[in-house]
Amino acid sequence: MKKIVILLCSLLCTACMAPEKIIEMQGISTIIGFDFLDDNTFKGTISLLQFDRKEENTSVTLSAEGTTSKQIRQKLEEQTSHDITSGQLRTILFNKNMAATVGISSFLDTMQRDSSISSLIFLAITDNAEETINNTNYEEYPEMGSYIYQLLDKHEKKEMLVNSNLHDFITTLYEIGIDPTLPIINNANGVAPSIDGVALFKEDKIVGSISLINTLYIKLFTNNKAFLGDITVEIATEELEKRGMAELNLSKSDSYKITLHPIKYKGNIEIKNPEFVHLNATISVSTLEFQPSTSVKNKDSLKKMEQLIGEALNKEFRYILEELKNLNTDPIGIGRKIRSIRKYSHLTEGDLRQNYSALKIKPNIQVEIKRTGLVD
Amino acid sequence: MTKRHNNDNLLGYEKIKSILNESPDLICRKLEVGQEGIHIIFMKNLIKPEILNEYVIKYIEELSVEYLHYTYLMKNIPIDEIKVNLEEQEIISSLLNGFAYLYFLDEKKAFIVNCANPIERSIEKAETESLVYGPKISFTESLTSNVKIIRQNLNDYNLCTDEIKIGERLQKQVRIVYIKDIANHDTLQTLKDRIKQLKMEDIIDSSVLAQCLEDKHYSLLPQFILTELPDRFIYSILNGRIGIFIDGSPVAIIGPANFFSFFESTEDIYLRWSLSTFIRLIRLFAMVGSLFLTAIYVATMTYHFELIPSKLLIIIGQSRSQIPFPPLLEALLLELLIELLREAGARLPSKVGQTMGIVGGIVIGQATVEAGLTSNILIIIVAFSALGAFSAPIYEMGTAVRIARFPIIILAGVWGLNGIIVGICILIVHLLRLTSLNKPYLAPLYPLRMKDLKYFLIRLPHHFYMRRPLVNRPKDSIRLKERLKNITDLDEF
Amino acid sequence: MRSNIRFVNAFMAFYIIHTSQIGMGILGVPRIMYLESKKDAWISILISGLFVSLITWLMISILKKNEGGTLFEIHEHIFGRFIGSIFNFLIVIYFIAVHYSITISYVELSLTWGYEGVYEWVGVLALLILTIYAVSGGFRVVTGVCFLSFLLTIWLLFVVYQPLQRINLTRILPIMTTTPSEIIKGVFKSSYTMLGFETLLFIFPFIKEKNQLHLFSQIAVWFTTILVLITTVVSILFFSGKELEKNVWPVVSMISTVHFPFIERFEFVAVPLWILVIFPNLCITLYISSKGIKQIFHIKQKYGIWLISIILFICSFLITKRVDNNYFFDQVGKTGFFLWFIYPIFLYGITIIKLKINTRSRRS
Repeated sequence: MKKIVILLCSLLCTACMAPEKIIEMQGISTIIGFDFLDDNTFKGTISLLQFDRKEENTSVTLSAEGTTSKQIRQKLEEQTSHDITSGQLRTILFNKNMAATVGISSFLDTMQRDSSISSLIFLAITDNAEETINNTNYEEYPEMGSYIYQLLDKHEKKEMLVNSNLHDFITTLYEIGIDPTLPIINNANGVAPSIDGVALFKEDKIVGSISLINTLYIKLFTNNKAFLGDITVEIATEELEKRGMAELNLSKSDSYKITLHPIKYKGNIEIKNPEFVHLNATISVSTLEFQPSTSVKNKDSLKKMEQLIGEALNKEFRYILEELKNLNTDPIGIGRKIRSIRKYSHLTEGDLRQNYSALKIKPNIQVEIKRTGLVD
Repeated sequence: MTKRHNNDNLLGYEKIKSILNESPDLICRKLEVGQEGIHIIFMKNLIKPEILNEYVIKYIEELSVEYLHYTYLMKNIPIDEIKVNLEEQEIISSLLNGFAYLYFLDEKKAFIVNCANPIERSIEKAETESLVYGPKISFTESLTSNVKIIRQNLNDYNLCTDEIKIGERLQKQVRIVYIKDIANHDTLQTLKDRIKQLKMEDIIDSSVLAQCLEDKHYSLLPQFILTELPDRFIYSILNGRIGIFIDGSPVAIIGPANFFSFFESTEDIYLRWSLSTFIRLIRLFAMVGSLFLTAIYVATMTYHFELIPSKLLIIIGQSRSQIPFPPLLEALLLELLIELLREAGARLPSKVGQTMGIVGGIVIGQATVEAGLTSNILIIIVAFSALGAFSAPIYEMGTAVRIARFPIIILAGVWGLNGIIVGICILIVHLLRLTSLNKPYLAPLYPLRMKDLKYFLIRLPHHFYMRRPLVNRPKDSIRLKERLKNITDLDEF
Repeated sequence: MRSNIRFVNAFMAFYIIHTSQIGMGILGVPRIMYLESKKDAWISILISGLFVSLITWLMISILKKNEGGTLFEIHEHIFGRFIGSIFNFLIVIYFIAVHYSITISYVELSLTWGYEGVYEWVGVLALLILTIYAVSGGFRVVTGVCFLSFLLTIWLLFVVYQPLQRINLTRILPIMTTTPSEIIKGVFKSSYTMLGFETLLFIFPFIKEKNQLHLFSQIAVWFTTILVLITTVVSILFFSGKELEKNVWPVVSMISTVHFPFIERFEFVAVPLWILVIFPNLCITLYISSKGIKQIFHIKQKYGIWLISIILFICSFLITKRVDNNYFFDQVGKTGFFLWFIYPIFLYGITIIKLKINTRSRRS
């Protein structure tokens, strides 16, 4: 009796199959891009993988217009014999215009709600998403989605970007006292798309951008194991002479360029009070290149050199901070740090923003030359 | 006086002839000695003529007349085994076993002597279980020679070989082999009770007996180890298990078995510990892979394409494209194909069988992929799972794994990964509920005995094995008393 | 056949209690705790753990004072057959509710992750069949399920390593900014997750070394507390506040940032794997409730199992909406809180009074 009941139940269970998603029936989208037309109409472009035995066409791109992302999806469905799925979606591109005017949080909300979309999906900004996806130069990769994924993945793995995936972006967006950033993808005719700077957000709207190299100043304080990238500092020759480093036998050029390779670093946001903040950082570097070539041998001149480099960096950082303050965006998370102090934990987002533009920030980057390569 | 002994049990030639349905083999040799003579009745083909001639007929004929009577002959006939005080049933069955029936017409008395000429195969190399190292001999169909092999290798007066007769029509002798001061008494008693309670007309082979003795008849998993290797048999008995021989079967039964014992081979003892541990883990891994890999493929292809890494996606997608079957059907087809190849290979003569395997494997596999009926990724997976199932040292476990794969594949095809996990849950519960001779099947993992894990999951250097595994509940668990007394550090082992 | 096989070693109590505590609750606990006690949720959990540990001690004393037996037997012993049976009946209903809450919340989770379109009852039925199969094997099998499920799933803890790369320590700072009342509310809310230690009251007769039981149950409840603590703290550090408040299953979302070279989306593996985590829960609740039915109505446990299963299966057609479910879980959590956090204190008092009366009457 019992066995019959169990058998019957099993049969009943197996009769109710879960809805199938057989791999070759799926229109597997790897990248989706949103463009802003006007009057709240958007244009969505996706690249679908095509499984062809002869490996001739590996992908197809489709576009459709609509007012919400799901409506676009519906219209895209009409254009293909496959079910469009986003389980393998790796990248979402947003039009720069759209991100600057409408904001992207409404799109991200649906993305986050959809369990089939990974939270490690990459987000990026581009001038025209449709054109970028339709670009046919994608190195050795089978299609644009894979290429852009690899491009962003490389940068992510090496910690060259501040935040780039959905999870990072949303977490930063929702967090009080810090603003998110996203990579900007540059698309030009005849070449593969490349990363070209980082967009700065205020809330979910783009307010400006900085170059990939300059993100080092942000990464110093937000990520403790990022890849800072090589730093090139330019120091005026007269400055060097002023410091009594004439014995370096400088040649006659008016400026002196040094390229440094950071080995490790430590950044710290020191809150003196809500109006005054120190940004302390120490970077250990090895010198890669002196232009024109020279050698620093004694301890004294090394120290002076370190000071000079530090000053140069601080100067640039100060300039960047000024710009960030003008844009009223805080990718470094100074506000977050302020709020984590018991006295100021009551501050709201609005308070912090107001505070930010009037904030006095003192950058204090110190450089320590650890190694000089094979020669002195 | 003669009447006193003359009960109805004593059969004359005519009666025997009628009982044996006038068998043409039945021969009655009449020796004209004494007053009325002696009848020697035997079956022609079953006896060894040399014995009968030399030690019975010649012996009787050379005796002087005063010795030619029942009592003297019974005591002095130069044959090892005689039977007296006979029942009718026993006379007949003995005759059929190659005994000769000596009937003294004068005294109306009789006894039977053993002149049997059993068919025996010489001891050969093991076929189904092969070892790289270690003894190569295997059991034969003869119970006598099997007991001989064991006795020769295990010279211990505590080695018991208890005899039980089973079967109604087809009577078989069963020997229960154990070491008295090691084997657990309760287990032994359970086993004996079960054998005695068996209600079977005929038990042809030990594998039939093993199936009849199982705790749970509906289980997919074998509950006794079947082996043809004497060294494995002896190893198991030394560790407190109980062995069973049955007349006419070259395969011995070992019980109680637990799940992990099906993955140990005696070769693990012969090889060095590092390699054996590695191989044992590989076998377990292969078993798990064999059970679940095809199912995972089906689940992934049908429901969870999200799981596939980007780089694999296109390769897999291309291999699946234009295949007319859903993954479940595709996998079942290919699995069945492999099973078919295996079966055909096993039935064919060994030389042809090998060719068959290769031809079938390569040609059919290649052709199905070319024709676009299956994906080549699946071919790899199915081949791996077939290999994995064959890596189990005990053939029965391999077959169990092969069969158990199918329900899991179907579950995967119906519910995806959830189905696989449901399958795992059922498997776990089944393993937990299963017992072998009332001993838990999943021991030593559950109930957990840390000290026993080294016997089943891994293998350590030999000096760690100071005790016998406790899962068989041996009476005496200490293996090396003298050494253990001196080395107290190793006490925990 | 009252052979040795009915008993299990004392250390198995660790697996039984721990696995019956960990289940669906832990997937959502960071959010529930965060909603109440914000950044200081971890304090609530520690307090809750301390409380559970005290109650465990109390339960052991109750069991020892009543000379073994399950809670069902203790009830009959203390309150008499009739009133005791009413109490037992309530407990049985509670366990059925717990069983159902676990099943339906898992089914809901599973439907969200890749199985949309399947009817709830299919999932409920599948889980029920599994559970019936396990429970009808008796206590030994239920214990085995707890043990194996622990072994097969504890490695998921190490998966947290990957999300740990994305945490930010400032998110938990400053500590102690919430009011004590909020923290106490958090303790209250954590009950649904922490519950499961009450199993202790029902496994006592099966344990071989009874004097070691206390030690192992304490280890179990503290291990659970630490696990819940780790999950909550990592979630708070991992998500920003607003995001955590929105996420129904923050732990699953956290797992979704894990990926291996051979598995792209680990959460799609983790969600099915969670069946193994809730399987002991289901077995134990069904076992206890069927045991209760056996105690009350004096029928075979087998019939109890079938009766309860049919009730559960019918329920699966009734309560399926997210809103209803949430209300239901909340009620189960609340009842559990009063039943197992508060009631043992009374039971302890009653036991002592009863003992005093007994000794006095014996003396006179």
